[in-house]
Amino acid sequence: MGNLWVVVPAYRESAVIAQTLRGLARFLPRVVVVDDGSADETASLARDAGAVIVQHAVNLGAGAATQTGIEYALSQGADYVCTFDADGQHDSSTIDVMLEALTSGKAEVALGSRFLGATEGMTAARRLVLRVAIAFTRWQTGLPLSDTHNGLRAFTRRAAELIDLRHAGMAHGSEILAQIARQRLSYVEVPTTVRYSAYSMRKGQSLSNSVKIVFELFYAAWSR
Amino acid sequence: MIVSVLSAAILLLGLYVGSHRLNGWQVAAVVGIGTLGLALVVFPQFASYAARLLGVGRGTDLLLYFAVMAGLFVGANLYFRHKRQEAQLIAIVRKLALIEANTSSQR
Repeated sequence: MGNLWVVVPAYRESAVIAQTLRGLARFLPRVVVVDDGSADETASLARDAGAVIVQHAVNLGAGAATQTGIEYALSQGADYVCTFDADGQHDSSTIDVMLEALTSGKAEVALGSRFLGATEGMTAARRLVLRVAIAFTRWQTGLPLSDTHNGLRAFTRRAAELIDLRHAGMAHGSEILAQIARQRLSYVEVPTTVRYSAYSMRKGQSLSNSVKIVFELFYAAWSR
Repeated sequence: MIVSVLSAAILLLGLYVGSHRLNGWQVAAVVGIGTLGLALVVFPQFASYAARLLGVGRGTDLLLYFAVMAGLFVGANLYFRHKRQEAQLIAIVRKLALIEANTSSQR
């Protein structure tokens, strides 16, 4: 299936990282966990599970961790790079669908979309905020997407080389899409099942974070 | 009394300019603002005169407005400096992480 590397940015995920990596076992040893300065056991648990560890000395944010992981995968000669959330909300079988889209030459980027697929346990408030976020992303990037800020994505090597995330924080979800639009990379959306467990809800982004993301994006657009 | 306060202010100003590596324009700005401040202490009626010219009314109000603007300017300056340094920190930490990972994988 080509040389695929799975990038898992992780910050304080010791409760679930082992389970997440069990789901990715068939991709080992080409799984890199970027430990974003966690104080807990995330790195050692991931190492025991057989993943490669790249460790940030201090916590920088999901965007920086994703960029570090992509660069590491490229340095190891990856033909394809997939990003996968550490909290266990994604289903690893989606990776095969995304990879198929890339290897067949249909697109250079495959994006997971929870609105094409199924969602389990999403609250009405989260659904509403996501709808607004998607409308905002469409307006900002001009891409007619059905989802935004989904951590499950796959890139060809060329696409991964063109992605250069400057946002350390959560706004990188929008930044990736903006760069796909600017670089005119072809993309497909792949239906994903996202499981909102009590754990991922507590760990994941609070809805109020979306305000911060919009602010970061305006700052970036202005300071560029 | 006022003479000792003014001399202390001038001394502090001199120390500030001397202890920082400022370029020509920055020295001129510091000296200019400092001189203006001293002049306003000695001739408070000048602030009121300037305020009337600008249509603000009272000299104290004019000084308050300037102080607010200066505060905003300083705040914005520090914010952008913070952002620059944050970007530098991110670059360093990411580079270090990749160097570490590559050296340990070669072992």
